[in-house]
Amino acid sequence: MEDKEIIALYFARSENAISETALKYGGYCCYISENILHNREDAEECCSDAYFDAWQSIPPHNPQNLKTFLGKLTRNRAIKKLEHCQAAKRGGGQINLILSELDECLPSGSNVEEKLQESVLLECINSYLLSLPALHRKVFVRRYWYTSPISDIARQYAMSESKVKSLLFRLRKQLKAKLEKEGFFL
Amino acid sequence: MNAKELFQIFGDIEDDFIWEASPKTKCQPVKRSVSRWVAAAAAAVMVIIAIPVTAYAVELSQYNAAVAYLASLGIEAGDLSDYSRREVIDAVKTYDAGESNAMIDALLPSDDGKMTVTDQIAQVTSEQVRSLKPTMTCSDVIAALGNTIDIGSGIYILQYEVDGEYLINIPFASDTAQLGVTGDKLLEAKQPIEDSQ
Repeated sequence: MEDKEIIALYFARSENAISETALKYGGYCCYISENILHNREDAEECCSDAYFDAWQSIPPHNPQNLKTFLGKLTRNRAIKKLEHCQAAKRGGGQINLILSELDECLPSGSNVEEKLQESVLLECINSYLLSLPALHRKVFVRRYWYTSPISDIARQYAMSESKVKSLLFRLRKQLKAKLEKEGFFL
Repeated sequence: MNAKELFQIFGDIEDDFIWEASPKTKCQPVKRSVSRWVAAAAAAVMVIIAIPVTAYAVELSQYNAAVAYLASLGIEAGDLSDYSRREVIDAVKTYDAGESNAMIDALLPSDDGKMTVTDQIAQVTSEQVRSLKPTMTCSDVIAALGNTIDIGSGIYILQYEVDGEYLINIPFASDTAQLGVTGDKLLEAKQPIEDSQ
């Protein structure tokens, strides 16, 4: 079923909207949530929560890209669930490694003065991603948005795991340099 | 800010980037019923021919990956017809390692499709600005009003001189970001030229 047909089901408040969403994008959403949570049951529950969020927001929201809209809902739900799970001391294998990698993009002892800076920071990150060759950008987004394991990234883009790691290392350094140059950190 | 906050902010990057990096969906293997003897015979034949085929398959796989990498830099597969597979593979290896490569330097497009830089501020009329629509991107605005100076750092901020008296600044977070406001709204924020200096 095409995306616009699925969205039409949401607008019509048809109960088939969720089932069609799960049929088309269930695998995609589970991929995102399972990479973050590393627990199948939690990941499936997270996907269900994301479908519910979609049901609540469409309408009035009419997403231009249903796939990425669901992806973002799923990612946000997975992060919230991870915080809950970590409080209960379970799950989240890959995420700690990814957070430690992202920590390299921040100068030590950094401090952002105002929350207002977040939207400008996001613009800077988007600008940085736009400046990258497509392959490098895909690798970076797969790792830090999709939280894909290095092995998955290497397999999809026909690269060795060591090459993926060294590429990510260079890209994190470049992002850090750009954020410092744009004056985000004191 | 800590890594966790950066990770959350990263979640709101442009949809196009997320779409572009989508993982390939996993496919279930198709189950076929084949007799054991046929399968064993086929396996034996495969082993006999596997050795010379394997080296070819490895090189082909490396070549395909190299072509995909070069395509991401704007070099089309058709441009590589004068080079052998091994030359292409070796060129990508050296280029990706950060070293210059004559083959790739010769093939790289001179214009990477991004906005061309100019130090001349474009002069437009209020009527032209009013024709702008909220769904226009940076390149749409430039096509409508002409190329002009970009005073942004990290994001685009196009500056135009309007009716010879005013300046307007038009910001875009990325190449695909939309204007978001009408031309009339932009004119409300115009500043007299003498106030801007």
